[in-house]
Amino acid sequence: MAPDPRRRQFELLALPHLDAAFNLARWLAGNTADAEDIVQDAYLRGWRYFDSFRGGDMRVWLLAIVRTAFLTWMKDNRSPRLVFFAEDPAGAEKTTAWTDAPRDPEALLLDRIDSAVLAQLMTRLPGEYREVLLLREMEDFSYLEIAQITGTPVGTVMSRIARARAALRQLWKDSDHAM
Amino acid sequence: MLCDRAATLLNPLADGELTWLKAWRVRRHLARCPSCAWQLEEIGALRSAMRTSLPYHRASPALAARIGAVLPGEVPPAVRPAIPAFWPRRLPAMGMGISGALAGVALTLFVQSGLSEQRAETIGRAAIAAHSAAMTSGHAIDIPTSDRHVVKPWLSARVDVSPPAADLAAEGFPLIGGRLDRIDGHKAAVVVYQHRQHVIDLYVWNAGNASDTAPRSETRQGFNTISWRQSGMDMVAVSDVAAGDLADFVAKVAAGG
Repeated sequence: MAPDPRRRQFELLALPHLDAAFNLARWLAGNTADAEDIVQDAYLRGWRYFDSFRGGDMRVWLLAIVRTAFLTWMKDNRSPRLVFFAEDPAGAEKTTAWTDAPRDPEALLLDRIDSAVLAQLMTRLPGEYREVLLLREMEDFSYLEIAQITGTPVGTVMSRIARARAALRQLWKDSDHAM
Repeated sequence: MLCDRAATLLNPLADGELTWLKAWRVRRHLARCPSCAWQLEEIGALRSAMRTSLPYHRASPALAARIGAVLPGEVPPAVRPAIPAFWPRRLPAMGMGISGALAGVALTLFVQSGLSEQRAETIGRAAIAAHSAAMTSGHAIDIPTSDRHVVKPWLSARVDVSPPAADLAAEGFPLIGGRLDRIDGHKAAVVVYQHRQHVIDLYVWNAGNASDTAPRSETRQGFNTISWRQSGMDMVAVSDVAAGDLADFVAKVAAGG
């Protein structure tokens, strides 16, 4: 059987982003086995919908599919441990602002936060917070690209990132590691 | 600007998502408001902690093999007979990220004629060609120094412009030197900056009396470029940094930082 040139093209475009796909799935699902299933499902979906890829950034296109595959997986394996959607806070403006006093002695100690602690705190964030922070800091996506991946308006991405950072910082402050 | 308004813009500022005008307004507020300034510092600290210490989970070789094995070998039913081997080079609305940072306010402010799209594209291509040639030649800098009082006169003595050469180290873009280069047939001064592990080249050449134009962005071959004209100088910033970071850099240069 002659190799299908289109499949070759799909592999050339999509496989280089396997690490990004796996990293996102791993952070969302919380373990390697599930993340691998999700990524495999995402690549199959991507191949099925490859016709709809009209150029542009393959990483954005692919990670949007990984995210869909994750949400489907979560629905099928409803795990009580995973909270994806954050509760919508009433006063969104309030929650993004730091509530403690400025020139707090803890200020900037985040610089020296232990990586294991930070990773552990990340897992305690709701998935949609974790997701935007990962896309922003680990993949270096712009707000617009994150909006394309998550299928949300840019304004929502902006406020979600602000809330996610405030929430992560609060978790850190509440933990025993804030000294 | 009031604290309430500034507070909602601190995260986009830290992420390089504000237009230079908006960024400038927020920074003006920060200069007078220790509380907001402190919040911005904390956001920066949180960002750098995440960037430096969160583990990046890499896929195992077994996963790649597994995916290769499950992808069907045949053409899927949805396939149409004539599939273009390549896809359109320019895609409206795909944006490539830069538009998020530059679109909107900045562009509507510059209602006067922008660089024509074709010219922006030509300059973008020329800048990428010149930039990557310099990066691979091992001759990225003629005069290595972080002293603007050395770089600026050195360049203006050799090219007929006096390029902006502020040291933006405090903003995350330290000045690392200068170089002479050619771009699109012009002799250009190149002010060289660094951002994390990336080099940003700012090409500057004489534009005569031509009027200012709005920044235009281009993305190709993994490089981002932003070109604009200001104070009788044509400028183009080119780098492999993230689109948002380059927009942040250009905002600072254009603001005369």
